[in-house]
Amino acid sequence: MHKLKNVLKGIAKNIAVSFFFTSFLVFLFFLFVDRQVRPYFILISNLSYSEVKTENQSISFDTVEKRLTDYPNYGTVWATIKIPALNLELPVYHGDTLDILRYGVGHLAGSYFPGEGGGIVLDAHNNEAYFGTLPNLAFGDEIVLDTIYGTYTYEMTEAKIIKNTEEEALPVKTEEELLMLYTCYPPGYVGLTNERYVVYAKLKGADYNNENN
Amino acid sequence: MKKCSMILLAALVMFGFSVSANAMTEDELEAKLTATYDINGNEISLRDTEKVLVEQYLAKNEISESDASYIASKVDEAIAILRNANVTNLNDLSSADKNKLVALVSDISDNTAIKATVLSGGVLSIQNIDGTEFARVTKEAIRQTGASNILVITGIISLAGLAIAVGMLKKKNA
Amino acid sequence: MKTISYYVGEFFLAVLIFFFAVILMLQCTIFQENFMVKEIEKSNFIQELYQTTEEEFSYYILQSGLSEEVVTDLISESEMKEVLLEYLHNFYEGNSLTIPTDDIKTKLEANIINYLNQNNLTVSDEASLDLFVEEILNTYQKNMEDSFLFGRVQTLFVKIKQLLPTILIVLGITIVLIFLLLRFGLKKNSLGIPCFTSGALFLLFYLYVCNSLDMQNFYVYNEAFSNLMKSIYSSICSNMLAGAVILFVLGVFATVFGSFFGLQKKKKSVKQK
Repeated sequence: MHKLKNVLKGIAKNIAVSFFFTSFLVFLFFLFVDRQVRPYFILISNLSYSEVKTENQSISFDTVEKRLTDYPNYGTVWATIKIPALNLELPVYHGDTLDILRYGVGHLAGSYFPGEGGGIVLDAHNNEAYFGTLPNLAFGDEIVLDTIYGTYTYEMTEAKIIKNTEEEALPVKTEEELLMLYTCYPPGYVGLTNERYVVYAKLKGADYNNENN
Repeated sequence: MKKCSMILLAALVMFGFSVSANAMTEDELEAKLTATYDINGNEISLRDTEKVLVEQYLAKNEISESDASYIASKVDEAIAILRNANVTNLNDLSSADKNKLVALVSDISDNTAIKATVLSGGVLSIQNIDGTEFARVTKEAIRQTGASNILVITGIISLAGLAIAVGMLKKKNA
Repeated sequence: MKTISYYVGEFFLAVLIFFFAVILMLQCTIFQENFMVKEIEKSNFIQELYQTTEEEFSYYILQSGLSEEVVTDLISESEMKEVLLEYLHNFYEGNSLTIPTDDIKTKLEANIINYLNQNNLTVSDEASLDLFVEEILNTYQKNMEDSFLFGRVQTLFVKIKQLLPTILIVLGITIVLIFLLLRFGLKKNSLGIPCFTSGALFLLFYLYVCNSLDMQNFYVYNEAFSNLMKSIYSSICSNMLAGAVILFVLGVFATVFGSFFGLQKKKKSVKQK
């Protein structure tokens, strides 16, 4: 009994001393180390996210501010592009990763939306189901963007072949609204190419389908 | 210099993505983010597509006015750090300065709901405050027929980019 | 004076045992090739990487004028595993890190020629075909390299790996010396407090990391790398908890043994008197 008491006493004493040692070391850690490592922990935590997918809801166009009341989520369809002269009708996705381009036309994130008055950049693959027939488009042909907030009609004004590094050929800060469609050039080749065929079109008319105008 | 510019661009875009301001401060903040800065003789500013992304992010995500002011002050701090360091290459920054930049980014990310992550191919995915995906940013505006893989340090424009870039440089110099 | 020296010694012993345990834990986990191989298997790294690579190959088909069969089965899952394990081995050994692409290139070129012949297609611009092959190989190579991001810090990693055994030996010798000094110099039982303290520190360190790091939704680069990171993190956390428990048990054992031993000695000295 006495032995056990002594043993328990020893354990209690050691734990008490350990408690003070631990507290002191924790204090030192927070005084000197925490500040240095915490930013990295925060950054790692900020690289973590849970994907939330929602549908585009009630997006309309504010004609006073000349911008959308909300912006479509990345990877969602926000318009249909119709080119009657090419008998083409395709969904337009926000974003243009290669994954997205498998399903339709991509909209460059960082370019404007129809109605906002800037450069709108759309791209798609160059096979016939997508933009492969773009070179057949003639000046004056109509391109219609039927968006979730209105219908915008553009008229082709120019076309050119550029290198894939010529970003200045696809300006987004423009004086007037400019729709740009591009695809790989030439169509029908085997392999990959560094050239792009770009079609430029100016806004001809808009038809809003909401009450915020 | 390219790296130095990328870091500043990263800081600016990240700051831009970190906040939304109300009508009173939005113009001011936007002007700050889209301005051209002179860093030790080199003028740098965001690319046009990045400026548009900042505009759209500000329009889509709502955060308080105080957050906007907080971010604006951090932009100034970031620029001051780069200017005071008197270097034209980020590799020449002292460890102390790099730590300051990391701390600055952490301050912002800690005080706002911004989330961003690096995806394969050097793509940066930026989330909205509600967790939906806002945009994916790559170095090239014109889509390559083949996705090019870009080094994280030069390709990433935003919070994660800055974080990883500074983190990696720090490790290199450690 | 003796008491102060004893407690100062105990304090340093606690700190040293803690660092020794942390370094030992790292040495047995991320700095161990076998550990990484196990984690790679546990997190389905190869399967995920294989699927991602196959999917990314298919991205290039739509605009290439070729068929998906050209890029199908360019590499099998087991071949990919072999390449990755070799890459991992080179990473740990400090050898140069390269992903060989010769086999894939040969297979891809043969597939393309077959496809062109079967469909009576002619290539007008060889350069565009070369670019296609280059992009496919680049995708494969980068996917493998980027998915194992540790490759980027190989130099630092290998340096630390080489340094760890030396640090462990130095720490071990210092711990033994302080222990002997306290045990025979000051005639005190000296392992209970340091073990309890380092156990508590391990536990607190574990709680600190768990509270500071949100790894639940960690997603960087791709599914394969993210899952691998989560798996490594979870294994390290389990090891930290195990370390804390072991140190606590050692602390109890050392205290009980010390008290009992001390008691016997006291009885002996009383009897002798």
